[in-house]
Amino acid sequence: MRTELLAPAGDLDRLKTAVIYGADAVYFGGKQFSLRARASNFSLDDIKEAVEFAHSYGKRVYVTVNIIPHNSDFNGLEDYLRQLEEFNVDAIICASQAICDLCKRVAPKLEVHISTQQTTLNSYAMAYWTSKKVDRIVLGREVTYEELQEIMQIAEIPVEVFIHGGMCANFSGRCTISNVLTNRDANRGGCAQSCRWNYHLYHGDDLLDKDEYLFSLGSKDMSTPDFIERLLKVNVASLKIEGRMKTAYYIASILKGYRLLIDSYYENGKVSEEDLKKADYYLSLAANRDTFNGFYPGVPNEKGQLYNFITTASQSFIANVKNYDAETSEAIIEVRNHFEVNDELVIMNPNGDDVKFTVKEMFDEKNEPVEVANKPMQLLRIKVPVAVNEYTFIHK
Amino acid sequence: MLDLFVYIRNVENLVRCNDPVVTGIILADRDFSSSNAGLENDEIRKAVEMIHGLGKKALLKVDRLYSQKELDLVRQYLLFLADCKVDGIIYTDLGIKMMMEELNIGYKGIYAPETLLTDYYDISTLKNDGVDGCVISKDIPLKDVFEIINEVPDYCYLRIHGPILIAYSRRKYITSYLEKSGDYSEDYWLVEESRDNRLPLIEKENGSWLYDATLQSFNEIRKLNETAMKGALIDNVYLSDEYTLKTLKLYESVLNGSITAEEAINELKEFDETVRYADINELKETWLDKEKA
Repeated sequence: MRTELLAPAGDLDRLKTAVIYGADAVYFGGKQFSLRARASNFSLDDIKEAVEFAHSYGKRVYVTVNIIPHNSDFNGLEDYLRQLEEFNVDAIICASQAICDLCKRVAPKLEVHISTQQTTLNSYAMAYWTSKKVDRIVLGREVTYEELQEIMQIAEIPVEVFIHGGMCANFSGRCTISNVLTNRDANRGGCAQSCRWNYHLYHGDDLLDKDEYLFSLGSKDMSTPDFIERLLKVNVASLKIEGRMKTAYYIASILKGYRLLIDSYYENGKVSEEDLKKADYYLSLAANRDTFNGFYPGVPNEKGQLYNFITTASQSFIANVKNYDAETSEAIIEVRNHFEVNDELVIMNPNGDDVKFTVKEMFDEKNEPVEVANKPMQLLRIKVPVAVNEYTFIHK
Repeated sequence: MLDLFVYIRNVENLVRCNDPVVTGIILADRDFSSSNAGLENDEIRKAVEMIHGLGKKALLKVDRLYSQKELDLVRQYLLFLADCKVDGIIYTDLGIKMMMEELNIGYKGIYAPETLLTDYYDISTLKNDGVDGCVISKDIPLKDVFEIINEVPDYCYLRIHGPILIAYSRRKYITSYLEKSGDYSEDYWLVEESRDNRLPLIEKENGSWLYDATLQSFNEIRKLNETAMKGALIDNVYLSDEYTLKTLKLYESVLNGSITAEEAINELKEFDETVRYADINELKETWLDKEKA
């Protein structure tokens, strides 16, 4: 059984991008019962369409039902689970014993995957969930690779691990800093990411602040291309990318990077230096924060911490394609970031290597020539060197 | 009268808990618990004997999450506790439940994952799964707590007093920031740069624990006393046994009506003016609860 590459989606467009760019499965939240309240999240109609689209490409769909529920949160849950089953959703991802049991009872065709919110770190904790006949366990991100190797020798059910994206600084599901400092319930979708804020550190009355930066609990993001071969070797069931709030461009470029590593491993029995270089290129396109290997090499030191937290929006994505005329080799593109005539641009298609080209001329909707593209969402017509489609991204 | 369990850090203070209001005493070692103090194994053995001599139950905190590499040591520790004839443990890692079953251990296990037990459906499920008892999350509104106790009577425990844990990590935050190893387990705290409140931070070899204010339940203790709660926990974590013994006396006085809740709070504030309090009744309606209401 090949290891699955699992991607997040914040809405239907991003789900379609994920499917086209090589995800084997996609996960997202509905309007209720899911964390990431600020992600767009899917209506029931969206879920139905998402499943139909993904299944038409032979891909699987998982819906997060991963809140840590309060008494009143169960209202409507039974009907919701039945509805997901009727739509042929493949699995729910949940973090509650009661939701797990309820799903098994009322929607038995749905697989139940246990969320990382349960912080499963060892084979005995896995044995509890195995006894409940769940279909998969998402391990806590705090498991090192050495520990994972041992766990995989004993595991009786499929195991999913994170490979990329934002990391909770604390054990997922065990942190209420956001509740306390902002009144936003982290375990019901409201996390304000207060771990990334700046704090003064004291010992007794002594202030221990450094001159360069204040104390923070925040973690660097996870990025693990150099661990993919090892993760595939121990036969984890799924490699998960975090980021339901990320853009379609982010999802496309990250998927492209990991897809080529996984495919190369299955074709050649290994991941080469060349593959890693290519993957690094794609993973760097949408990077907006410092990254590290998570806990795989061991419990992180200061190199895994994010001090002076600043998110810089990547400027590399400059346009997406709205339309393409094969006869004239012209594309209608939608501007996202600044570029100019004579700039060297790059076409990223779902398949194949990126293609560089220089934009010689461009025209607006009135067919007037344009020298500088600096109006976001403006439609421009340009000549492109290869066929493109609505899933093509143009970047610098 | 509700069953009251109280955490004591030092063996020499056990005899001072020989009070009818105390049902059991909670102990902790340093390696397998979240405690920054912790007893050595010979002290635990002696303490359990002393506690039983007082006619009370002895519970141990085994309340960390454990890595795969630690499991053999955890197993040995659970067997050691059985040999000491402890009455129960308070645990955070579901793996402990399975290990206790495998070892056919003779004592009870109370599951206390801090944040995860926020509804009666989950707690009922755990009861059906064979978990001996559960500590309700301190992160939910009190009305939800009462609902849970009513729905799952004679099963639930509740923390009524003690610093509120708001984050637990496998990372060593202070070591990382200072880029220097050391003993960072006593008297370290954070202040968010735009706020004033102190957040005590404990770092040990196996992780970090961040706390907020100290939970107190003087205004609600008489009402809680009338519920079908299995037990109430006073766990003052890093605060002194003197503070805990004072707390205990004050709850007893409020329960028997000799002082009011307000008098108890004032007395405790006078006893240690550095401690900041949160009333159990003011916790924890978040924006989500308010939107629902």
